[in-house]
Amino acid sequence: MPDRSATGAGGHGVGDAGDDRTLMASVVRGDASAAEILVQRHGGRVWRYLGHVCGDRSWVDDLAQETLARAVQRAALYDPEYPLEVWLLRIARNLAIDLSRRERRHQRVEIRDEEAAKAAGPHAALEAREFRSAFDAAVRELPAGYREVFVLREFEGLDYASIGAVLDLSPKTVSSRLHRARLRLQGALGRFL
Amino acid sequence: VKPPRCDRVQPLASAYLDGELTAAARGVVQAHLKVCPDCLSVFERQVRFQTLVAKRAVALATSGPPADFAEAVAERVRSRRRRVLVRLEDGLGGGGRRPLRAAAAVAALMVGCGALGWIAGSKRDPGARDAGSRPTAASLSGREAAGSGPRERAVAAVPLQRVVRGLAADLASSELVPSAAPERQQDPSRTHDGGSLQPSDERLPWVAAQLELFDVERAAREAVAAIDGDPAERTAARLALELVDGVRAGQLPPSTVERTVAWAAGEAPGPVSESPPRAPLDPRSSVPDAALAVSERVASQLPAPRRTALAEALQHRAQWVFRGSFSHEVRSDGAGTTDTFGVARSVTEMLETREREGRTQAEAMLQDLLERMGVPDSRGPQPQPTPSQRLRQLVR
Repeated sequence: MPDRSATGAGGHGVGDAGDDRTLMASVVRGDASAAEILVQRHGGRVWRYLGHVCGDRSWVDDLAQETLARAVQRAALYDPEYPLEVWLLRIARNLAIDLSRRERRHQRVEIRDEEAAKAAGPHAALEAREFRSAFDAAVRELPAGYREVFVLREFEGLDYASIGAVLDLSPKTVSSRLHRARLRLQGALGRFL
Repeated sequence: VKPPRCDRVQPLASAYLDGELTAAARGVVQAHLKVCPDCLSVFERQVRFQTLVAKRAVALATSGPPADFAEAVAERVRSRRRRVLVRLEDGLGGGGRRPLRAAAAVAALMVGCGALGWIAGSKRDPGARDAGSRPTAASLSGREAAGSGPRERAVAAVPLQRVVRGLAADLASSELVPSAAPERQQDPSRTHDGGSLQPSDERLPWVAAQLELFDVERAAREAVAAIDGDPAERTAARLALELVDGVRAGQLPPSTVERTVAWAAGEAPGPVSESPPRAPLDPRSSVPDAALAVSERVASQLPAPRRTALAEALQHRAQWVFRGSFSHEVRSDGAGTTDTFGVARSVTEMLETREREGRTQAEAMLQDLLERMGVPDSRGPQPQPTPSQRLRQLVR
Protein backbone atom coordinates (compact mmCIF):
# COMPACT_ATOMS: atom_id res chain seq x y z
CA MET A 1 0.00 0.00 0.00
CA PRO A 2 1.38 3.39 -0.89
CA ASP A 3 1.83 6.13 1.62
CA ARG A 4 -1.44 7.98 1.41
CA SER A 5 -0.20 10.88 3.41
CA ALA A 6 1.73 11.96 0.37
CA THR A 7 -1.37 12.01 -1.79
CA GLY A 8 -3.61 14.05 0.39
CA ALA A 9 -5.98 11.16 0.94
CA GLY A 10 -4.82 11.05 4.51
CA GLY A 11 -5.02 7.89 6.58
CA HIS A 12 -6.40 8.06 10.05
CA GLY A 13 -3.68 9.36 12.27
CA VAL A 14 -1.84 11.05 9.42
CA GLY A 15 -3.32 14.40 10.34
CA ASP A 16 -2.04 15.66 13.67
CA ALA A 17 -4.83 15.14 16.22
CA GLY A 18 -3.24 17.66 18.56
CA ASP A 19 -3.25 20.23 15.79
CA ASP A 20 -6.90 19.55 15.11
CA ARG A 21 -7.79 20.04 18.78
CA THR A 22 -5.97 23.36 18.85
CA LEU A 23 -7.55 24.32 15.59
CA MET A 24 -11.07 23.62 16.82
CA ALA A 25 -10.43 25.53 20.02
CA SER A 26 -9.49 28.52 17.88
CA VAL A 27 -12.61 28.11 15.75
CA VAL A 28 -14.72 28.12 18.93
CA ARG A 29 -13.10 31.41 19.93
CA GLY A 30 -14.25 32.85 16.62
CA ASP A 31 -10.88 32.89 14.89
CA ALA A 32 -11.70 33.30 11.18
CA SER A 33 -8.29 32.14 9.99
CA ALA A 34 -8.70 28.92 12.00
CA ALA A 35 -12.02 28.29 10.26
CA GLU A 36 -10.29 28.79 6.93
CA ILE A 37 -7.58 26.29 7.86
CA LEU A 38 -10.25 23.82 8.93
CA VAL A 39 -11.88 24.05 5.52
CA GLN A 40 -8.59 23.78 3.68
CA ARG A 41 -7.35 20.87 5.76
CA HIS A 42 -10.50 18.75 5.71
CA GLY A 43 -12.67 20.11 2.89
CA GLY A 44 -11.15 17.80 0.28
CA ARG A 45 -11.77 14.70 2.34
CA VAL A 46 -15.39 15.62 2.99
CA TRP A 47 -15.95 16.51 -0.65
CA ARG A 48 -14.46 13.26 -1.94
CA TYR A 49 -16.41 11.16 0.55
CA LEU A 50 -19.69 12.79 -0.47
CA GLY A 51 -18.75 12.23 -4.09
CA HIS A 52 -18.69 8.50 -3.45
CA VAL A 53 -21.87 8.17 -1.45
CA CYS A 54 -24.40 10.56 -2.89
CA GLY A 55 -26.02 12.45 -5.74
CA ASP A 56 -24.82 14.56 -8.61
CA ARG A 57 -21.96 17.04 -8.55
CA SER A 58 -24.05 20.06 -7.60
CA TRP A 59 -25.30 18.24 -4.51
CA VAL A 60 -21.79 17.20 -3.56
CA ASP A 61 -20.60 20.82 -3.55
CA ASP A 62 -23.65 21.94 -1.60
CA LEU A 63 -23.43 19.22 1.01
CA ALA A 64 -19.69 19.63 1.46
CA GLN A 65 -20.13 23.37 2.01
CA GLU A 66 -22.94 22.73 4.45
CA THR A 67 -20.86 20.19 6.35
CA LEU A 68 -17.97 22.60 6.83
CA ALA A 69 -20.28 25.53 7.63
CA ARG A 70 -21.94 23.49 10.37
CA ALA A 71 -18.59 22.38 11.69
CA VAL A 72 -17.54 26.02 12.02
CA GLN A 73 -20.81 27.07 13.63
CA ARG A 74 -20.97 24.11 15.97
CA ALA A 75 -17.29 23.85 16.78
CA ALA A 76 -18.14 24.08 20.48
CA LEU A 77 -19.93 20.73 20.22
CA TYR A 78 -16.87 18.91 18.88
CA ASP A 79 -15.61 16.31 21.32
CA PRO A 80 -11.81 16.20 21.06
CA GLU A 81 -11.85 12.63 22.31
CA TYR A 82 -12.76 11.63 18.75
CA PRO A 83 -10.73 12.31 15.61
CA LEU A 84 -11.94 15.43 13.82
CA GLU A 85 -12.39 13.61 10.52
CA VAL A 86 -14.83 11.20 12.17
CA TRP A 87 -16.95 14.08 13.40
CA LEU A 88 -16.88 15.78 10.00
CA LEU A 89 -17.74 12.62 8.09
CA ARG A 90 -20.62 11.92 10.45
CA ILE A 91 -22.04 15.37 9.77
CA ALA A 92 -21.55 14.83 6.03
CA ARG A 93 -23.19 11.42 6.13
CA ASN A 94 -26.20 12.64 8.09
CA LEU A 95 -26.67 15.50 5.66
CA ALA A 96 -26.46 13.10 2.73
CA ILE A 97 -29.06 10.83 4.33
CA ASP A 98 -31.36 13.78 4.95
CA LEU A 99 -30.95 14.88 1.37
CA SER A 100 -31.60 11.47 -0.09
CA ARG A 101 -34.74 11.24 1.98
CA ARG A 102 -35.91 14.54 0.64
CA GLU A 103 -34.81 14.25 -2.91
CA ARG A 104 -34.79 10.51 -3.48
CA ARG A 105 -31.63 10.89 -5.46
CA HIS A 106 -29.05 8.21 -5.24
CA GLN A 107 -26.97 8.71 -8.36
CA ARG A 108 -23.29 8.83 -7.80
CA VAL A 109 -21.18 11.71 -8.87
CA GLU A 110 -18.70 10.98 -11.62
CA ILE A 111 -15.39 12.07 -10.19
CA ARG A 112 -13.07 13.53 -12.76
CA ASP A 113 -9.80 11.78 -13.13
CA GLU A 114 -8.21 13.04 -16.32
CA GLU A 115 -4.82 13.56 -14.74
CA ALA A 116 -4.08 9.89 -14.18
CA ALA A 117 -4.86 8.99 -17.79
CA LYS A 118 -2.61 11.72 -19.15
CA ALA A 119 0.33 10.35 -17.21
CA ALA A 120 0.45 7.01 -19.08
CA GLY A 121 1.22 5.98 -22.68
CA PRO A 122 -1.54 5.05 -25.20
CA HIS A 123 -1.71 1.33 -24.41
CA ALA A 124 -1.31 1.78 -20.70
CA ALA A 125 -3.81 4.62 -20.80
CA LEU A 126 -6.37 2.40 -22.51
CA GLU A 127 -5.85 -0.33 -19.94
CA ALA A 128 -5.99 2.18 -17.10
CA ARG A 129 -9.20 3.62 -18.51
CA GLU A 130 -10.74 0.16 -18.75
CA PHE A 131 -9.78 -0.64 -15.19
CA ARG A 132 -11.05 2.70 -13.91
CA SER A 133 -14.32 2.27 -15.67
CA ALA A 134 -14.80 -1.31 -14.48
CA PHE A 135 -13.65 -0.45 -10.97
CA ASP A 136 -15.93 2.57 -10.61
CA ALA A 137 -18.87 0.57 -11.94
CA ALA A 138 -18.17 -2.31 -9.55
CA VAL A 139 -17.94 0.02 -6.57
CA ARG A 140 -21.15 1.68 -7.67
CA GLU A 141 -22.86 -1.71 -7.79
CA LEU A 142 -21.94 -2.57 -4.20
CA PRO A 143 -24.79 -2.50 -1.68
CA ALA A 144 -24.78 0.86 0.11
CA GLY A 145 -23.69 -0.65 3.42
CA TYR A 146 -20.66 -2.29 1.80
CA ARG A 147 -19.81 0.72 -0.35
CA GLU A 148 -19.68 3.12 2.58
CA VAL A 149 -17.30 0.90 4.51
CA PHE A 150 -15.13 0.30 1.44
CA VAL A 151 -14.92 4.02 0.56
CA LEU A 152 -14.02 5.07 4.08
CA ARG A 153 -11.27 2.45 4.27
CA GLU A 154 -9.78 2.58 0.80
CA PHE A 155 -10.27 6.19 -0.19
CA GLU A 156 -10.25 7.95 3.15
CA GLY A 157 -7.83 5.61 4.91
CA LEU A 158 -9.78 5.36 8.16
CA ASP A 159 -9.10 2.49 10.55
CA TYR A 160 -11.90 0.12 11.52
CA ALA A 161 -12.68 1.88 14.79
CA SER A 162 -13.04 5.24 13.03
CA ILE A 163 -15.19 3.75 10.29
CA GLY A 164 -17.37 2.26 13.00
CA ALA A 165 -17.62 5.65 14.67
CA VAL A 166 -18.75 7.31 11.44
CA LEU A 167 -21.28 4.64 10.54
CA ASP A 168 -22.40 3.52 14.02
CA LEU A 169 -21.05 0.03 13.49
CA SER A 170 -18.88 -2.22 15.62
CA PRO A 171 -15.33 -2.84 14.33
CA LYS A 172 -16.30 -6.48 13.85
CA THR A 173 -19.16 -5.52 11.55
CA VAL A 174 -16.85 -3.15 9.71
CA SER A 175 -14.35 -5.95 9.21
CA SER A 176 -16.99 -8.34 7.96
CA ARG A 177 -18.57 -5.85 5.54
CA LEU A 178 -15.22 -4.75 4.24
CA HIS A 179 -14.16 -8.32 3.57
CA ARG A 180 -17.39 -9.06 1.71
CA ALA A 181 -17.10 -5.85 -0.30
CA ARG A 182 -13.58 -6.78 -1.33
CA LEU A 183 -14.63 -10.31 -2.31
CA ARG A 184 -17.41 -8.91 -4.49
CA LEU A 185 -15.06 -6.47 -6.15
CA GLN A 186 -12.45 -9.17 -6.74
CA GLY A 187 -15.15 -11.21 -8.44
CA ALA A 188 -16.12 -8.31 -10.66
CA LEU A 189 -12.53 -7.31 -11.47
CA GLY A 190 -11.01 -10.77 -11.80
CA ARG A 191 -9.51 -10.11 -15.23
CA PHE A 192 -7.34 -7.31 -13.86
CA LEU A 193 -5.85 -9.40 -11.04
CA VAL B 1 -3.73 -26.97 19.68
CA LYS B 2 -6.13 -27.72 16.88
CA PRO B 3 -5.17 -25.78 13.71
CA PRO B 4 -7.82 -23.35 12.44
CA ARG B 5 -9.88 -24.34 9.43
CA CYS B 6 -9.41 -22.53 6.13
CA ASP B 7 -12.95 -21.15 6.22
CA ARG B 8 -12.06 -19.46 9.53
CA VAL B 9 -8.78 -18.01 8.27
CA GLN B 10 -9.76 -16.66 4.86
CA PRO B 11 -12.36 -14.15 6.15
CA LEU B 12 -9.54 -12.64 8.22
CA ALA B 13 -7.55 -11.69 5.12
CA SER B 14 -8.85 -8.12 5.02
CA ALA B 15 -8.29 -7.40 8.67
CA TYR B 16 -4.88 -9.11 8.54
CA LEU B 17 -3.67 -7.02 5.62
CA ASP B 18 -5.13 -3.86 7.15
CA GLY B 19 -3.23 -4.48 10.38
CA GLU B 20 -6.46 -4.74 12.37
CA LEU B 21 -5.92 -8.15 13.95
CA THR B 22 -4.67 -8.68 17.48
CA ALA B 23 -1.16 -10.05 17.84
CA ALA B 24 -2.57 -13.44 18.83
CA ALA B 25 -4.90 -13.68 15.83
CA ARG B 26 -2.14 -12.48 13.59
CA GLY B 27 0.13 -15.27 14.86
CA VAL B 28 -2.55 -17.89 14.20
CA VAL B 29 -3.03 -16.64 10.63
CA GLN B 30 0.70 -16.58 9.93
CA ALA B 31 1.14 -20.11 11.24
CA HIS B 32 -1.72 -21.32 9.06
CA LEU B 33 -0.39 -19.62 5.93
CA LYS B 34 2.93 -21.39 6.34
CA VAL B 35 1.26 -24.77 5.91
CA CYS B 36 -1.72 -23.97 3.65
CA PRO B 37 -0.99 -23.03 0.03
CA ASP B 38 -4.70 -22.54 -0.74
CA CYS B 39 -5.12 -19.86 1.89
CA LEU B 40 -1.80 -18.33 0.93
CA SER B 41 -3.09 -18.01 -2.62
CA VAL B 42 -6.26 -16.29 -1.37
CA PHE B 43 -4.18 -13.85 0.65
CA GLU B 44 -1.88 -13.14 -2.31
CA ARG B 45 -4.85 -12.40 -4.52
CA GLN B 46 -6.13 -10.02 -1.86
CA VAL B 47 -2.77 -8.25 -1.84
CA ARG B 48 -2.88 -7.83 -5.64
CA PHE B 49 -6.39 -6.47 -5.40
CA GLN B 50 -5.54 -4.00 -2.63
CA THR B 51 -2.55 -2.79 -4.61
CA LEU B 52 -4.82 -2.01 -7.57
CA VAL B 53 -7.30 -0.27 -5.30
CA ALA B 54 -4.52 1.77 -3.74
CA LYS B 55 -3.50 3.05 -7.19
CA ARG B 56 -7.07 4.10 -7.85
CA ALA B 57 -7.24 5.77 -4.43
CA VAL B 58 -4.10 7.75 -5.25
CA ALA B 59 -5.64 8.90 -8.54
CA LEU B 60 -8.91 9.89 -6.88
CA ALA B 61 -7.07 11.81 -4.21
CA THR B 62 -5.98 14.29 -6.88
CA SER B 63 -9.58 15.41 -7.28
CA GLY B 64 -10.92 18.01 -4.92
CA PRO B 65 -13.53 20.66 -4.37
CA PRO B 66 -13.79 23.72 -6.63
CA ALA B 67 -11.37 26.60 -6.12
CA ASP B 68 -14.04 28.81 -4.52
CA PHE B 69 -15.02 26.14 -1.98
CA ALA B 70 -13.51 27.81 1.10
CA GLU B 71 -15.05 31.16 0.22
CA ALA B 72 -18.44 29.52 -0.33
CA VAL B 73 -18.28 27.97 3.16
CA ALA B 74 -17.27 31.30 4.69
CA GLU B 75 -20.13 33.08 2.93
CA ARG B 76 -22.56 30.45 4.17
CA VAL B 77 -21.47 31.07 7.77
CA ARG B 78 -21.55 34.86 7.33
CA SER B 79 -24.97 34.90 5.75
CA ARG B 80 -26.46 32.94 8.65
CA ARG B 81 -25.05 35.37 11.16
CA ARG B 82 -26.51 38.23 9.15
CA ARG B 83 -29.91 36.57 9.12
CA VAL B 84 -29.92 36.24 12.91
CA LEU B 85 -29.23 39.95 13.14
CA VAL B 86 -32.06 40.68 10.75
CA ARG B 87 -34.38 38.65 12.93
CA LEU B 88 -33.33 40.53 16.02
CA GLU B 89 -33.84 43.83 14.26
CA ASP B 90 -37.22 42.65 13.03
CA GLY B 91 -38.20 42.00 16.58
CA LEU B 92 -37.02 45.39 17.75
CA GLY B 93 -39.06 47.52 15.42
CA GLY B 94 -37.80 46.75 11.95
CA GLY B 95 -41.09 47.50 10.26
CA GLY B 96 -43.26 44.70 11.55
CA ARG B 97 -41.70 41.98 9.44
CA ARG B 98 -42.58 38.60 10.86
CA PRO B 99 -42.62 39.74 14.47
CA LEU B 100 -43.36 36.30 15.86
CA ARG B 101 -40.43 34.76 14.10
CA ALA B 102 -38.24 37.43 15.63
CA ALA B 103 -39.92 36.87 18.96
CA ALA B 104 -38.85 33.26 18.89
CA ALA B 105 -35.27 34.20 18.11
CA VAL B 106 -35.04 36.87 20.76
CA ALA B 107 -36.83 34.76 23.34
CA ALA B 108 -34.39 31.95 22.71
CA LEU B 109 -31.48 34.33 23.04
CA MET B 110 -32.89 35.53 26.32
CA VAL B 111 -33.16 31.96 27.55
CA GLY B 112 -29.46 31.74 26.85
CA CYS B 113 -28.79 34.91 28.78
CA GLY B 114 -30.81 33.55 31.66
CA ALA B 115 -28.86 30.33 31.53
CA LEU B 116 -25.67 32.32 31.83
CA GLY B 117 -27.10 34.07 34.83
CA TRP B 118 -27.59 30.63 36.30
CA ILE B 119 -24.11 29.47 35.39
CA ALA B 120 -22.49 32.58 36.81
CA GLY B 121 -24.91 32.51 39.73
CA SER B 122 -23.02 35.03 41.80
CA LYS B 123 -26.17 36.54 43.28
CA ARG B 124 -28.07 33.31 43.74
CA ASP B 125 -29.23 32.52 47.20
CA PRO B 126 -27.56 29.19 48.06
CA GLY B 127 -30.54 28.26 50.18
CA ALA B 128 -32.82 28.53 47.19
CA ARG B 129 -31.57 25.29 45.65
CA ASP B 130 -33.91 22.34 45.85
CA ALA B 131 -34.34 18.95 44.23
CA GLY B 132 -35.56 20.59 41.06
CA SER B 133 -32.80 23.10 40.67
CA ARG B 134 -30.39 22.89 37.79
CA PRO B 135 -27.18 21.11 38.67
CA THR B 136 -23.96 22.77 37.68
CA ALA B 137 -21.09 21.01 35.98
CA ALA B 138 -19.40 20.81 39.34
CA SER B 139 -22.42 19.22 41.00
CA LEU B 140 -22.75 16.77 38.12
CA SER B 141 -19.29 15.57 38.87
CA GLY B 142 -20.13 15.23 42.54
CA ARG B 143 -17.55 17.80 43.49
CA GLU B 144 -19.55 20.95 43.87
CA ALA B 145 -17.55 23.92 45.04
CA ALA B 146 -18.67 26.23 47.80
CA GLY B 147 -19.32 29.02 45.36
CA SER B 148 -16.06 30.84 44.90
CA GLY B 149 -13.67 28.13 43.70
CA PRO B 150 -11.45 28.53 40.68
CA ARG B 151 -13.86 26.63 38.45
CA GLU B 152 -16.81 28.82 39.40
CA ARG B 153 -14.74 31.90 38.83
CA ALA B 154 -13.64 30.57 35.46
CA VAL B 155 -17.20 29.72 34.44
CA ALA B 156 -18.41 33.10 35.60
CA ALA B 157 -15.79 34.72 33.41
CA VAL B 158 -17.19 33.18 30.22
CA PRO B 159 -18.07 36.16 28.07
CA LEU B 160 -21.77 36.59 27.51
CA GLN B 161 -20.96 37.44 23.94
CA ARG B 162 -19.72 33.92 23.34
CA VAL B 163 -22.84 32.34 24.76
CA VAL B 164 -25.11 34.57 22.73
CA ARG B 165 -23.08 34.01 19.59
CA GLY B 166 -23.31 30.26 20.04
CA LEU B 167 -27.05 30.42 20.52
CA ALA B 168 -27.41 32.65 17.52
CA ALA B 169 -25.52 30.12 15.44
CA ASP B 170 -27.75 27.35 16.77
CA LEU B 171 -30.83 29.33 15.93
CA ALA B 172 -29.62 29.81 12.40
CA SER B 173 -28.96 26.14 11.86
CA SER B 174 -31.38 23.75 10.34
CA GLU B 175 -31.15 21.32 13.22
CA LEU B 176 -33.19 23.61 15.43
CA VAL B 177 -36.02 23.66 12.96
CA PRO B 178 -35.60 20.71 10.61
CA SER B 179 -36.98 20.46 7.16
CA ALA B 180 -39.50 17.94 8.43
CA ALA B 181 -41.44 20.89 9.86
CA PRO B 182 -44.46 22.12 7.87
CA GLU B 183 -43.64 23.52 4.44
CA ARG B 184 -42.41 27.03 4.64
CA GLN B 185 -42.32 29.82 2.16
CA GLN B 186 -39.11 29.76 0.19
CA ASP B 187 -37.41 33.11 -0.07
CA PRO B 188 -35.31 33.08 -3.24
CA SER B 189 -33.17 35.96 -2.01
CA ARG B 190 -31.72 33.76 0.71
CA THR B 191 -29.16 31.09 0.14
CA HIS B 192 -30.08 27.53 1.01
CA ASP B 193 -29.52 26.95 4.70
CA GLY B 194 -31.64 23.89 5.24
CA GLY B 195 -34.09 25.61 7.52
CA SER B 196 -35.06 28.67 9.47
CA LEU B 197 -37.39 29.68 12.23
CA GLN B 198 -41.01 29.36 11.35
CA PRO B 199 -43.15 32.50 11.27
CA SER B 200 -45.60 31.04 13.70
CA ASP B 201 -46.05 31.25 17.43
CA GLU B 202 -46.38 27.46 17.37
CA ARG B 203 -42.63 27.40 16.94
CA LEU B 204 -41.98 28.95 20.34
CA PRO B 205 -42.41 25.79 22.41
CA TRP B 206 -40.52 23.96 19.68
CA VAL B 207 -37.51 26.20 19.99
CA ALA B 208 -37.72 26.11 23.76
CA ALA B 209 -37.73 22.31 23.77
CA GLN B 210 -34.75 22.20 21.48
CA LEU B 211 -32.80 24.66 23.56
CA GLU B 212 -33.53 22.68 26.68
CA LEU B 213 -32.28 19.57 24.98
CA PHE B 214 -29.12 21.47 24.17
CA ASP B 215 -28.95 22.35 27.83
CA VAL B 216 -28.86 18.69 28.79
CA GLU B 217 -26.21 18.15 26.19
CA ARG B 218 -24.21 21.10 27.46
CA ALA B 219 -24.47 19.83 31.02
CA ALA B 220 -23.17 16.45 30.02
CA ARG B 221 -20.36 18.07 28.08
CA GLU B 222 -19.44 20.20 31.07
CA ALA B 223 -19.49 17.09 33.20
CA VAL B 224 -17.15 15.29 30.83
CA ALA B 225 -14.80 18.25 30.99
CA ALA B 226 -15.02 18.49 34.76
CA ILE B 227 -14.45 14.82 35.52
CA ASP B 228 -10.81 14.00 35.18
CA GLY B 229 -10.37 10.96 37.36
CA ASP B 230 -13.08 8.36 37.14
CA PRO B 231 -13.36 6.60 33.77
CA ALA B 232 -16.73 5.11 34.74
CA GLU B 233 -18.16 8.55 35.36
CA ARG B 234 -16.74 9.81 32.12
CA THR B 235 -18.31 6.87 30.34
CA ALA B 236 -21.68 7.56 31.91
CA ALA B 237 -21.53 11.22 31.01
CA ARG B 238 -20.49 10.51 27.47
CA LEU B 239 -23.16 7.86 27.14
CA ALA B 240 -25.84 10.30 28.22
CA LEU B 241 -24.44 12.82 25.79
CA GLU B 242 -24.54 10.38 22.91
CA LEU B 243 -28.06 9.33 23.72
CA VAL B 244 -29.34 12.85 23.97
CA ASP B 245 -27.60 13.70 20.74
CA GLY B 246 -29.03 10.67 19.01
CA VAL B 247 -32.53 11.25 20.26
CA ARG B 248 -32.37 14.88 19.26
CA ALA B 249 -31.32 13.98 15.77
CA GLY B 250 -34.12 11.42 15.62
CA GLN B 251 -31.64 8.85 14.47
CA LEU B 252 -31.57 6.40 17.32
CA PRO B 253 -34.14 3.68 16.76
CA PRO B 254 -35.51 2.09 19.94
CA SER B 255 -33.46 -1.06 19.40
CA THR B 256 -30.27 0.98 19.50
CA VAL B 257 -31.31 2.68 22.70
CA GLU B 258 -31.99 -0.74 24.20
CA ARG B 259 -28.61 -2.02 23.16
CA THR B 260 -26.82 1.10 24.27
CA VAL B 261 -28.34 0.90 27.70
CA ALA B 262 -27.36 -2.77 27.84
CA TRP B 263 -23.86 -1.71 26.92
CA ALA B 264 -23.82 0.77 29.78
CA ALA B 265 -24.80 -2.03 32.13
CA GLY B 266 -21.98 -4.17 30.81
CA GLU B 267 -24.34 -6.67 29.18
CA ALA B 268 -23.62 -6.03 25.51
CA PRO B 269 -20.46 -5.55 23.44
CA GLY B 270 -21.16 -2.08 22.10
CA PRO B 271 -23.72 0.57 21.21
CA VAL B 272 -24.12 -0.61 17.64
CA SER B 273 -26.89 0.06 15.18
CA GLU B 274 -27.40 -1.35 11.76
CA SER B 275 -30.88 0.01 11.36
CA PRO B 276 -31.32 2.86 8.92
CA PRO B 277 -32.06 6.25 10.50
CA ARG B 278 -35.75 6.88 10.83
CA ALA B 279 -37.65 10.06 10.19
CA PRO B 280 -37.06 12.88 12.70
CA LEU B 281 -39.21 12.75 15.79
CA ASP B 282 -41.78 15.37 16.48
CA PRO B 283 -39.82 17.39 19.02
CA ARG B 284 -42.86 18.93 20.62
CA SER B 285 -44.10 15.58 21.78
CA SER B 286 -41.71 12.69 21.62
CA VAL B 287 -38.23 14.14 22.04
CA PRO B 288 -38.72 15.27 25.64
CA ASP B 289 -40.27 11.96 26.65
CA ALA B 290 -37.68 9.94 24.78
CA ALA B 291 -34.79 11.87 26.27
CA LEU B 292 -36.27 11.60 29.73
CA ALA B 293 -36.83 7.87 29.33
CA VAL B 294 -33.28 7.38 28.13
CA SER B 295 -31.89 9.38 31.00
CA GLU B 296 -33.92 7.46 33.56
CA ARG B 297 -32.87 4.14 32.14
CA VAL B 298 -29.23 5.10 32.06
CA ALA B 299 -29.44 6.05 35.70
CA SER B 300 -31.39 2.94 36.72
CA GLN B 301 -29.34 0.39 34.80
CA LEU B 302 -25.86 1.46 35.70
CA PRO B 303 -24.32 -0.94 38.22
CA ALA B 304 -24.12 0.41 41.74
CA PRO B 305 -20.51 1.61 41.67
CA ARG B 306 -21.23 3.52 38.50
CA ARG B 307 -24.58 4.87 39.54
CA THR B 308 -23.00 8.05 40.62
CA ALA B 309 -24.17 11.50 41.41
CA LEU B 310 -23.54 12.20 37.77
CA ALA B 311 -26.20 9.83 36.46
CA GLU B 312 -28.68 10.94 39.09
CA ALA B 313 -28.01 14.56 38.37
CA LEU B 314 -28.56 13.97 34.68
CA GLN B 315 -31.84 12.32 35.51
CA HIS B 316 -32.84 15.24 37.68
CA ARG B 317 -31.90 17.61 35.01
CA ALA B 318 -33.89 15.81 32.36
CA GLN B 319 -36.91 15.75 34.68
CA TRP B 320 -36.50 19.40 35.35
CA VAL B 321 -36.16 20.17 31.71
CA PHE B 322 -38.92 18.05 30.32
CA ARG B 323 -41.55 17.84 33.01
CA GLY B 324 -42.07 21.56 33.01
CA SER B 325 -41.04 22.19 36.59
CA PHE B 326 -39.43 25.47 35.75
CA SER B 327 -40.03 27.11 39.08
CA HIS B 328 -36.52 27.11 40.45
CA GLU B 329 -34.75 30.36 40.89
CA VAL B 330 -32.24 31.44 38.35
CA ARG B 331 -31.63 34.85 39.74
CA SER B 332 -33.12 36.50 42.71
CA ASP B 333 -32.89 40.21 43.27
CA GLY B 334 -34.89 43.10 44.63
CA ALA B 335 -37.21 43.02 41.66
CA GLY B 336 -38.26 39.45 42.34
CA THR B 337 -37.52 36.04 40.94
CA THR B 338 -37.01 35.40 37.29
CA ASP B 339 -36.73 32.01 35.74
CA THR B 340 -35.46 31.33 32.28
CA PHE B 341 -38.83 30.65 30.80
CA GLY B 342 -40.17 33.65 32.56
CA VAL B 343 -37.54 35.65 30.75
CA ALA B 344 -38.51 34.08 27.46
CA ARG B 345 -42.14 34.87 28.09
CA SER B 346 -41.28 38.39 29.14
CA VAL B 347 -39.45 39.03 25.93
CA THR B 348 -42.26 37.62 23.88
CA GLU B 349 -44.72 39.78 25.77
CA MET B 350 -42.41 42.70 25.29
CA LEU B 351 -42.44 42.21 21.56
CA GLU B 352 -46.18 41.94 21.52
CA THR B 353 -46.31 45.09 23.62
CA ARG B 354 -44.15 46.81 21.05
CA GLU B 355 -46.79 46.08 18.46
CA ARG B 356 -49.43 47.65 20.64
CA GLU B 357 -47.76 50.44 22.50
CA GLY B 358 -44.77 51.35 20.50
CA ARG B 359 -41.09 50.91 20.46
CA THR B 360 -40.12 53.08 23.41
CA GLN B 361 -41.80 51.02 26.05
CA ALA B 362 -40.60 47.75 24.57
CA GLU B 363 -37.03 48.98 24.52
CA ALA B 364 -37.33 50.06 28.12
CA MET B 365 -38.50 46.56 29.03
CA LEU B 366 -35.66 44.98 27.13
CA GLN B 367 -33.22 47.34 28.81
CA ASP B 368 -34.58 46.24 32.14
CA LEU B 369 -34.23 42.58 31.23
CA LEU B 370 -30.68 43.03 30.00
CA GLU B 371 -29.71 44.73 33.24
CA ARG B 372 -31.40 42.11 35.40
CA MET B 373 -29.51 39.40 33.58
CA GLY B 374 -26.22 41.09 34.20
CA VAL B 375 -25.29 42.31 30.73
CA PRO B 376 -22.51 44.82 31.43
CA ASP B 377 -23.78 48.36 31.62
CA SER B 378 -22.05 50.51 29.08
CA ARG B 379 -23.29 53.83 30.41
CA GLY B 380 -20.61 56.49 30.36
CA PRO B 381 -19.77 59.80 28.79
CA GLN B 382 -20.83 58.50 25.34
CA PRO B 383 -24.50 58.28 24.45
CA GLN B 384 -25.87 54.95 25.67
CA PRO B 385 -26.52 52.45 22.86
CA THR B 386 -30.06 51.34 22.39
CA PRO B 387 -30.96 47.77 23.36
CA SER B 388 -31.07 46.97 19.67
CA GLN B 389 -27.50 48.19 19.24
CA ARG B 390 -26.36 46.27 22.30
CA LEU B 391 -27.85 43.03 21.00
CA ARG B 392 -26.20 43.68 17.68
CA GLN B 393 -22.85 44.11 19.43
CA LEU B 394 -23.37 40.88 21.34
CA VAL B 395 -23.95 38.72 18.29
CA ARG B 396 -21.00 40.12 16.33
